[in-house]
Amino acid sequence: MNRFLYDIFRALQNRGVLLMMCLTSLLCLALLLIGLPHLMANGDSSDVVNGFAVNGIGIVYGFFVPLTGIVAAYETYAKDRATGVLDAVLCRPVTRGDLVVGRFLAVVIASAVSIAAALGLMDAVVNIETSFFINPIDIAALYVGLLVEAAAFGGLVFLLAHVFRSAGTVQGTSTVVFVLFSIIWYVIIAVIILYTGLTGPDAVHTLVIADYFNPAQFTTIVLTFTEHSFFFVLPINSFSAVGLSVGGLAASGLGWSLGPFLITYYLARKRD
Amino acid sequence: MFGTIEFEELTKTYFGGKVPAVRGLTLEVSKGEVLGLVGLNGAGKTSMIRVGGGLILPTSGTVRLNGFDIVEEKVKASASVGWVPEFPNFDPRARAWELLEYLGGYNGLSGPSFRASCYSLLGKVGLAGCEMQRLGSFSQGMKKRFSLATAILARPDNLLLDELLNGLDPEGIRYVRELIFSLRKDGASVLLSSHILSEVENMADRIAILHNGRLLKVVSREELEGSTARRLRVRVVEKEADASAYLSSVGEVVREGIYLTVANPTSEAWQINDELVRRGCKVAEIRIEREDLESLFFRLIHEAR
Repeated sequence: MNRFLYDIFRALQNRGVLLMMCLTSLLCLALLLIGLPHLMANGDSSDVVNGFAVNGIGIVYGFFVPLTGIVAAYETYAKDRATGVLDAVLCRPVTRGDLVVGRFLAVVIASAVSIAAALGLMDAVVNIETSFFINPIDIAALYVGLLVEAAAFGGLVFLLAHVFRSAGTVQGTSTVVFVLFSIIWYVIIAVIILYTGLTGPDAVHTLVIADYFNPAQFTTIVLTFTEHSFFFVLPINSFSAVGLSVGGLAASGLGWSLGPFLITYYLARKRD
Repeated sequence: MFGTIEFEELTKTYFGGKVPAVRGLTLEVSKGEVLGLVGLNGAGKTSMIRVGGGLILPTSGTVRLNGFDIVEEKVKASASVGWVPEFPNFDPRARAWELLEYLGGYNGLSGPSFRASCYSLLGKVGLAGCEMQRLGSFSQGMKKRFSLATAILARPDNLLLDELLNGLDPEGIRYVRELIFSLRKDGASVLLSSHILSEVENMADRIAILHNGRLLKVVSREELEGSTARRLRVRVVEKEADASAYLSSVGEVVREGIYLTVANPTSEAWQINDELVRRGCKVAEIRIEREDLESLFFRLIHEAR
C-alpha cells in the first residue's frame, strides 16, 4: 500500500475518531428525527426547516469535530512522536518537513472524508423526513466550517507535540485547549458582554469578532454569514454592523487551518 | 555497496541540557569497515548514532553519509543508511509485513515483488510465520529482529546499530555477527555500539572509546592484538589484604571478582610471586595477560576520570 494512503487509512481507521464520529452522528440524528417531524407538522416553511437542520448539524458537529481532529492528530502524529514510533519513519529518506506535511495531510483528508460522509448521511435523513435536501450552499458552508475546525485543532495538536515531550502532557494540554475554545470561551465572552452592558447588534458584533479568534466557532460564523442569522435566532440585516466580512472569514479560516501547522512545520525543521 | 560515515567536529547539546552529550567528535567509518563504539552509559554513543541517523539535529559539526550531509541533504543521506535503535518502538497495531511495506515506500520500494521480498526478509531475520502478527505482540527480541529487517530493507551502504545485540538470543547474535561480516564483505560501513565488549572485539575492525561525549581513543584490531601492555592476574586465598597492599606498590590494583589484577606491574611475575609467598599469602593462581579491550577500556576510562 502506498505510504501516503497508509497514513490516511490509519487516521480513518482510528477507533477514537470512528467512535466520536458515530456518536456525534447519532446525537445529530436524534436531533433531526425529533425536530424535523415537529416542524413539518407545524407547517413551517422550507426555509425554517432548512435553517433548523443546518444550524442543528452545525452546532452538534461543530462541537464534536474539534475533538475528532484532536484524536486523529494525536493518533497519527503526536503519539508516534512522543513514544518514538516516528523515529522508524524519520530515519528513512524523508525530510522532517515532508514527514510532518504528509501526516497533517493524512489528518485533513481523513477529516474531509469523514465529515463528507456524516453530512451526506444527515442530508439523506433530512430528505427522508422532509422530502427536500439541505440547501447546497449551506452544506458547502458546513463542510468548509467543519473542515477548518478539524484542521485547526489537528494543527494545534501537531504544534503541542513539538512543544511538549510526553504523550500524557500532549493529551492533557489538548484537552485543555478543547475545553477552553469549546466551552470556557463563551463564558468569558458572555461575562464581557454582561459587564460592558452590550445589547443587540453590539453584542452580536462582539460575539462575531470573538469567534474570529476561536477555531471551535468557525462553523458558527460561516453559518451566520450564509444564513443571515446568528444561531438561527438573531437575524442579521447588515454584515458590516456585526463585523462580518468575506475577508475576515477567509483570514480566520486560513489562519486557523494553516497557522498552527505552519508553526509546527518550522519547529519540526529546526528543533529535535 | 560502498559506504562511508563521517562525523566532523560533531557536538550535540539537548534542548535545556547544560552539558553536551557529544563534544567535538571527529570520526570516520570507511567503506567495508566495522567500527565498534564503546563507552559507559551517557558516553554519547546513542546521541552520536541518532544524529547520524537524522533523528536529531547536531548542535554544531556535520555528519556525512556517502558524502551527503544528514541535515542539508537528508533524503540522499538517509537513502544510504539503515538504523537499529537500542529500544525499537513500532506502532503496536501495525502488522509486520504491512509496516515493512510502508517503510519501504519511503525508499521508493513497492509492488508484489517487494512484498515477496518483505516476507523473505522477515524469514531471514528469524521472524518467519510472524508476517501477519501485530507488532504489539512482539517481544523485545522480536522487535530487535524486526528493527534489523527495517534497517536492511533497502540494502543500505551504511548501518548504524545501537546496542543491537541487547535483547537478542544466542541465535540472533550469531545471525547478526554473520550479517555484519557479510555486509562488510560487500563494502558496507557499519557503526556498531555495544556494551558487550567481547562481541565488539570479535566483530570490529576498529574500536572507538567514548567517555562523557569525548572520543578517548580509536584502536585498531591489530593494535589491540599487538598490545605490549600487560596485566597480572592473581588469586590469593589467604591474607588477601596483605597481598593487595603489596600489589599496590608494584602497580595499580583493581579487584575483578575473585581476582586482583595489576596493570603493567613494575616487577616480574616470579618476583611478585616470591614476595607474596614470603609475606605468607597463599597464591592459588598467578598469570600474565595481554591487555584486551575490556582492560584497555577501563584503563582509559580510569585515566579520563
